[in-house]
Amino acid sequence: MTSSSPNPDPSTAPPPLRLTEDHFINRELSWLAFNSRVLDEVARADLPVLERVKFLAITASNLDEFFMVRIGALQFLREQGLRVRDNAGLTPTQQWEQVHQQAAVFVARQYDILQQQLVPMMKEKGIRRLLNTELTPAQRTVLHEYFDEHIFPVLSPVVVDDTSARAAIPALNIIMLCTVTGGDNGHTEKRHVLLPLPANLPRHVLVPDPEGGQYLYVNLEDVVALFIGEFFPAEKVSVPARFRVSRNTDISVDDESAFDLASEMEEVLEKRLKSPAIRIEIETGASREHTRIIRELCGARTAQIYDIPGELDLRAYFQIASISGFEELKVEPWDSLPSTAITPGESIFDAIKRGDILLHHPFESFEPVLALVEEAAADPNVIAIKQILYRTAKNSRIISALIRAAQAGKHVTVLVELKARFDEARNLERATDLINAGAQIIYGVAGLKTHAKVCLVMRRESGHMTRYMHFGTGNYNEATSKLYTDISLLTCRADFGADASAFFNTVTGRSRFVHFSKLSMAPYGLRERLVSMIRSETERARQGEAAEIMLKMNALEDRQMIAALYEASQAGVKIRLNVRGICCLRPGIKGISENISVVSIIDRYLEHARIFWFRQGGKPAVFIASADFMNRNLSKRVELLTPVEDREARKRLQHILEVHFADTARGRVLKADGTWQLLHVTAAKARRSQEQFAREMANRARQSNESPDVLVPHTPK
Amino acid sequence: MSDETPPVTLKLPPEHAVIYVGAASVSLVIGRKDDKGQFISIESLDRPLPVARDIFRARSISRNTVDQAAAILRDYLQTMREYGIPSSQLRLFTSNILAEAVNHEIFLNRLQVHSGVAPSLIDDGNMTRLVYQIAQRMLLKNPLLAKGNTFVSHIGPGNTRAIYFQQGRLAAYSNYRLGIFRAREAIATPDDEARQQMVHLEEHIRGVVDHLAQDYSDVKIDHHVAIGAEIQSVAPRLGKARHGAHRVLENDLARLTDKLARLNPDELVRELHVHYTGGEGIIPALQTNLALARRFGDDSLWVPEGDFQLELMLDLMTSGSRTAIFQEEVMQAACEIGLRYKTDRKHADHVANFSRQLFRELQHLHGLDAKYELVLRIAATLHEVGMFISPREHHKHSLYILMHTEIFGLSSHDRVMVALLARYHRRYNPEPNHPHFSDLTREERMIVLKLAALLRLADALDRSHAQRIKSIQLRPEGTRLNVLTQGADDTTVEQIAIDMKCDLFREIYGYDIILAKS
Repeated sequence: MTSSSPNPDPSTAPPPLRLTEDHFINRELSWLAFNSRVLDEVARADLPVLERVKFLAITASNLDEFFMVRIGALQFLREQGLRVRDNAGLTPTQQWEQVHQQAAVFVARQYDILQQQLVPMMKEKGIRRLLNTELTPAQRTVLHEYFDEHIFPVLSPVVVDDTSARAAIPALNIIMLCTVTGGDNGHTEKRHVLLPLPANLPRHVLVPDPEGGQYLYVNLEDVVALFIGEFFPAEKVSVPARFRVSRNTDISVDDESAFDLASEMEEVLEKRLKSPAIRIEIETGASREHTRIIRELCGARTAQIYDIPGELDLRAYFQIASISGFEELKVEPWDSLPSTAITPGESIFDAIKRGDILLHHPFESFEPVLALVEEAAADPNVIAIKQILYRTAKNSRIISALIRAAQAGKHVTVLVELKARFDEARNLERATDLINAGAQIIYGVAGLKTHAKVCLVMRRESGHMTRYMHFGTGNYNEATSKLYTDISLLTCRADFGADASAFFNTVTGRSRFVHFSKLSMAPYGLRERLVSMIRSETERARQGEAAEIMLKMNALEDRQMIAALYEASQAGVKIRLNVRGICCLRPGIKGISENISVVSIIDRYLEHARIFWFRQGGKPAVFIASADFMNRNLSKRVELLTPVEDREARKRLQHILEVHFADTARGRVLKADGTWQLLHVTAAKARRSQEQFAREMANRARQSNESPDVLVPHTPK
Repeated sequence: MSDETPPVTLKLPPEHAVIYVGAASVSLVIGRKDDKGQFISIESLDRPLPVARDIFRARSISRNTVDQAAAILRDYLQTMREYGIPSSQLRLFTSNILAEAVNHEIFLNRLQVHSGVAPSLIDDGNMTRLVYQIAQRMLLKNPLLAKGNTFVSHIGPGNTRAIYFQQGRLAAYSNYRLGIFRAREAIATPDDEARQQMVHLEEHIRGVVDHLAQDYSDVKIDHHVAIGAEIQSVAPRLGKARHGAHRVLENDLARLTDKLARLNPDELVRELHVHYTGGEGIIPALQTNLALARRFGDDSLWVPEGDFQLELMLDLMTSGSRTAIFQEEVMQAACEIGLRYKTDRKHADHVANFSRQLFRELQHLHGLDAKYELVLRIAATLHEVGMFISPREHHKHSLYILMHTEIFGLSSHDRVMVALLARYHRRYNPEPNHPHFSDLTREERMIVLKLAALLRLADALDRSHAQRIKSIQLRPEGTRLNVLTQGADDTTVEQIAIDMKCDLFREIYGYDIILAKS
């Protein structure tokens, strides 16, 4: 063999693209830009105030997770002295510094909007946080009773000198630090005391409104401050400082060596309490001494300390956003309508047998997916149910149905992903219930996080085994299904069924991975299939054929996928991307990505669907997936890519994509410099994709209600 | 109308299951019949198990492997339970390389204890049939191959088969002791560089490759078809399939083999999505195919589309039924053997035809499976091969020759039957202490007795070797079986032969045989 390359590509493709740092946007900064887009919604004057408050809470919750996961990892790299550069050429230290800088600007803007706009607007409408100085004697009495009954018994002060003080700093809780002087024996003694506020107490304590009609509340930390003296009778207590710590939670579970993953997960939950501090937020007004103590306690650098110009932990505003009454301050709800593909009262199995059912949540209800599992649990012909659970709802109906099915003697196999960040505790609890009911439980796959969303029901029909499947882009979570846009595909196609069985055989370890005929699974070929779809369009474009790609996802970060898209763009493929969050691809670079456009939509519902559309010479190939174009999804997780073969379903997905790309109300376009720009069109001309889907769905539902061709008689049960 | 619930009927599910303990993995296929009555797979599972590695390295299966097999079976039975498939609808096969393990009985016993089903060793006959069928299907789809002279090779874990087709019909068949895992273990020295290993392997297989090439040196080969799990799994990387086959250029195959050989096991597993145990066989398989292609001077190979292992499993599910064409190919191969030993072809054909007629018309008496018709016909075709050595005691020579002659499409077990039938076509009736006969189970001995009785009658009907009796009709009447003959006016010779040879028939079937003119 003379060639140094063992397998040269025989095709006439141009030499591979040489990518430089300028071709990529840094992932962390791109994420911060995403959260800024969410914050734009908070600033939006045309939205009702409680909707804006909801978005504010979302930005806070997002930022917390970002710090714990991403900045935690960055800090780790930095402390290890690793100088590995990201695709955009930044070292961990450079990234860390830029992130902190931008995060500080972001937080300032958050509080500015809150205090300058939201608080006055809410106050005007009767929603008010009362400060201690504003309380009437009657209100004070109510709070005193509340303090004695609910707070005092569960709050445990910890002296800072004590060696246990460090361990007593739980992540994300609000903690108060005060200085106590004086003592029983007469001489002056000074000590610093921590009071961590228990996470299970509501942040807002309602107080009666003497005039009526207002929603008045006092923050928990204010109530504690008001009666803090009760902990230290006959002593002098300083004004307490308030702070909050975020910790690194990117602790990897070494599941290869775990004998029992469930017990190890419990340890991780404990470790989360103790891992290094990433960010310290101190409410403005803390004394210098208190600030120093807090910094020392947390072992943090000054750069990690955020001076917060107002109340801590804005996630508490979720509670305000959903208070009852005040409906005029909320957005008019869009209904989650039943799918027109299912006749009311009909068995879900009969409906699926008639043809594939595509659901666009939450415009269409999640009920059919729940019905599949619930009917299966009660159906004597159903032999087995196999299900992946990732992040489930509280009191999940799916899990309840699976428990019933197992109790009824069906073969129930459930893969409970314990590595779903932050949701481990909830997942563990239900896993135990399932085991007790007799289901076979698998705690994920060694080394990989199982992120695929699939449910398989095996049902014997006139002797034959028929397999019913649900493939989704979102979790089996009836709560988030009302808030996230996702796609569900219900089908009983035999070849999809065989693949679904093979998938479960693989993840449950019953079989090695065997090749699928329809689906693709990460990490065994999903990436390769996507790359080959992109290359196919590239090749078509090179041969002068019309070539086009439309992709919708939550994040685009994977270097190989970005390179494939750049090559496609160079060849002349028209590429439209709808990316909600992180986008490391830089569009509009001359000679590289000028055929690529990127739009991000932030609206009432969290955009969560993954839809991939390839023109394929006019016979489009359309997929839904659980995976984003991120290295972690394509290489380190178990994911599924599902082709959609039903003509109508394909057309609907294409429509969904096109409507998103035409969104001029909530769509923002990514520019070559990495900034995002709203499209400035007049309100009359603006098209808002989510609103259009809600309207279209309502029309469909109305039409099918108005002219039913099947009447459903009420018959005695 | 009462509201009685209908009676519960326990219906068996339409699904069947086959478990195959192969050279490098254990597979389960759940299948059911489609509209055309063909078995199709509805679920297939595969788990690595280093059977071949153990056998060719240590001549025995390790305890760890045995335990692993038991754990896999337990999981597979769980899948079967999900379908409600009873063990009566499970067939369990193992690769025939197991026979080379000194402790194979213990291993088979563990398999039986865990599955509740007695495992059968899949033998050369089954494997040959499968290779033949895959090749036939390919020829049907591909007129170019069907019209020409096509050489088919199959490199298995322990053996290599060669089938030669002329204009779509079987013309020659041979089997060699050269297999992927056999070769790999023979040369395995873990510290070797990739290139060094390839050189060792090439040395190792050269002898057998030369032998094979010599066997087919006098025939014209237009096309070379390579069949096998490994080559079929990589073929899609080397070109798109057309008419059911990939055309793989020798150069491309060489390049790919070289590239894969340079990968470490981890990289290989990732690159090909195989498991570690199965991955070990890839390079030896590709290299052996390559060596054959080079030896024959082929610039390209044809590789059938599809999953070899899955086809094998589905074939096993069909209880090894043989197509009519295949049966004729097997008969043809038997005739070739007859020719080699200079048998009286006309007599052999005539006896074979009578045997078939007797088997079919007396089916209600012997109650045997259709596969034994083929066994009987082959025995009829070859019953006199022993004459090649000497007419005296020629039935014993026939036994010896047939015990040591491979017959295309027959398992070794079937071949024993054929040899014993030839042994018992004359002279002594079978006795329990006779060699080979004594090795059979009671059921198998009974089959030999039933078939030998038919063969003796058929042979007696052409006692003169002159095909005087052209055809017969059977007319049972009380305890007599009247055989109405056509062609010969005087059948005294045949009747004497019947009286001498057919006491076995009387004993087995309870009929006296009387010849009469039609």
